[in-house]
Parts: sequence; structure tokens; C-alpha cells
Amino acid sequence: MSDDHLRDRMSASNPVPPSHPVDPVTSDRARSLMEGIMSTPTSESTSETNRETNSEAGDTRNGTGMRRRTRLVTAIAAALVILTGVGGFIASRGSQPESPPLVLSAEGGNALASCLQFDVDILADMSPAFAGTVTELTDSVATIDVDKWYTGGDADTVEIQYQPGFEALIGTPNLEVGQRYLITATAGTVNGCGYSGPATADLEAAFDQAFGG
Amino acid sequence: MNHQSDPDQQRRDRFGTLFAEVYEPVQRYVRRRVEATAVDDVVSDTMLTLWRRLDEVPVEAHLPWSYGVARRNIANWRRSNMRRVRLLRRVAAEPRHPETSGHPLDAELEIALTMLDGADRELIELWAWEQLEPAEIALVLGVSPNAASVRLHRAKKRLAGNLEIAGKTGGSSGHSHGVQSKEDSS
Repeated sequence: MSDDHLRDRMSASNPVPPSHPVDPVTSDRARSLMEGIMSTPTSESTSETNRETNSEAGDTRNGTGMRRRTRLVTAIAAALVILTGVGGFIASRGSQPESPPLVLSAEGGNALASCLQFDVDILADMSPAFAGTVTELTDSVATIDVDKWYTGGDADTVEIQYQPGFEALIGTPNLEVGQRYLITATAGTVNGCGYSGPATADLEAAFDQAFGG
Repeated sequence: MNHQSDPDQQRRDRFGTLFAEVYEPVQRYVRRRVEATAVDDVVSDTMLTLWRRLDEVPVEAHLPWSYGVARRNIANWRRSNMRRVRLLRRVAAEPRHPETSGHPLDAELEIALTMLDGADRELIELWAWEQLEPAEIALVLGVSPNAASVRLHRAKKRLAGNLEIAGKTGGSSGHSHGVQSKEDSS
């Protein structure tokens, strides 16, 4: 089968072909969305421009703060687009296999030789960085269900193999199932000293700022 | 005020140009890959990311770069969606029924695509549905153009092989062969 034939056959099964109507860029909704977006601050993104140019890393940086703002933008946009079903191609995607877990270690000490004063610029250079909820906990392994990757990965789950004292390192008396955490690591070892910890509003804001959320 | 010398206005103008170019194709890209109820959020997130990272968008490749941003937003949406699905399954303890729709499918092709792994399928879809060339696919996926080219070549070979197998096993072919224009030129 030639490339052209294969491409044509795929194109004929495109659930949303290029001719499929979508919300036009000239619509009131599109204009509202654009205006709403342009009213959001950009200081965080412009300050990090020179630090991050890789597109793969760049597009990972969508934090919760952005989502909150996006909800606002969406509310401003208000009008709903009538969406049609897009067929079995999309329905079948629900069964895509999950990616293997990322495994990190966590010492009783710290990957950083000594605690640095917390600095968003230092945080921004750490990778991976993610947010997730502990789903399983043993004496030495915490399994975290990731809901957001800031940078450095795309696994659905992360396993942290930890040693006694790790909890104090990330500023919590005990790891808890059901608790959400923000985690960074360096060279495969979880960072403490304020660079990982329970998902407080302050830490989340710092992650958003560091990773362009 | 002289807009030519106003950095904020210049930025707004640049974003307006970018928005006009990518808003509609990005909607289609997202709608091909996520359920309808999530499209608005993913598209809005993508446009907001483009605004915030406007200085990084390569001039010569607005659309592939934008697809790359949308791809990451879709991955985050799927991740959080899977958490909800797993939770609901635990609570409901019910078997999962695949969604169906009235979209006419090429049965052999659907079988053949299902036999591909996710990475191959994504390459094929970017090539055929978004009509991207290997260098553009490389931008979307964050890999080198050479790697994208090699992987695409292999994925096409695997898909062609899968189609032969699907044909022999009796998948009924209801496809029609239509040629479509490149999305970013529409």
C-alpha cells in the first residue's frame, strides 16, 4: 500500500476533517476568549522565556493556577459551542494502556547537600516536578497518582522509595493516603527543604510561578 | 498612543495573529482526541498557554508548536480523567462499556489502528489527520526530525501490515477514499 493510499484512507476516517465546522475565529465567543486571555498577566512567562526554550519542556508547564484562570476565561467566554460526537476513534482511546510508573528515591536526608533558602528560580530548574495524590503506602514505598506534570515526565503514577525521616524532610509528620503532594526531584531523588511537600496553596502558587502555570 | 512603540500592544497584536492562525485547527486537533465535554477547557488552556509563552512560539512553525501545547494539555486532562474513571469504577464496580457513536468507520482500518501501540498511532494520526510532515511532527512530539521521520516510516509499515491482517480476518471495509487539504492551509 502506497503512502498516498494509506494517507487517503486515514483521512477518509478522520473523525473531524479539516472541513468540519468549528467555532470560527471571528465568532463572539472566540473574541471573548481572546480578550479574556489577553487580560491575564504575563510577567511569569516573560521572565522565564530565556531559561526555557525547549518546546517539549515548555508545553508541560500548565499549572493549577492557569486552570483556575482558564475557568474564569471560559466563564467570560460563556457561549457554548455545540459539539458533535467524534466517533469510535476517540472512544477507543479510553483503553490506552497507562505508562509505567516513574520510580524515585527519597532519603532520610536530602538530594540537596544542605537546605538552600527556598527560591522559585531554583525550584524552576528542578525536574521532574509533579502534583499527585498518595494512593498506596507501605513502610518504604509511596505510590502517587499523578494529576499534573509540571515538567520532566508523563507517567500516570510515581513510586517513591523512601527511608525513615523522609516525611519530616518534606514538612509533614506522616505521609497519608488520599493526601495530595507537590514533588520535585533532582537526579532521581526527591527534594525536601520546601521544594516538595503537601499541596498547600502557597506551594502550589510557587510551582505555578516556577513552571509557568 | 503610538501602538508601534507600545510593547503591550505589540504583544497583543502578535497574539491576535497567532490566535487567528491556530484557533480553528487546534479545536479540530483537540476534538479528534478528547470527548466533547472536555474540548472547550483543553482549547482554552492551550490558547492561554500560547499567550503566556508567546515569546517562545517559533515564527516558522506556529501550528505544530500549538499542537504540541494542546497535546500536553490533553495528556494532563486524560491523566486527571483517568483518576476520576478509576474512582468511579471502584465505587460502582461495574464493567466498562465503550462509547459508541454514529460515525462511519473503516472497520479494517480501525482494527489495524487498534493493533498499533499508542506512539505509532499518534504519529500516523498527526501525519494523516493533521497532514503534518516529519519535521512538523517532531515539533509536536519534542523529538528530532530524524527520529520523527524514522518512527513515522516504521509506523506506516506496521499499519500497512496490520491492514493486510485485518483484511484477511474479514473486517468489513466501509471506507471511502477522499483527499483532504492540509489543515494549516485551510
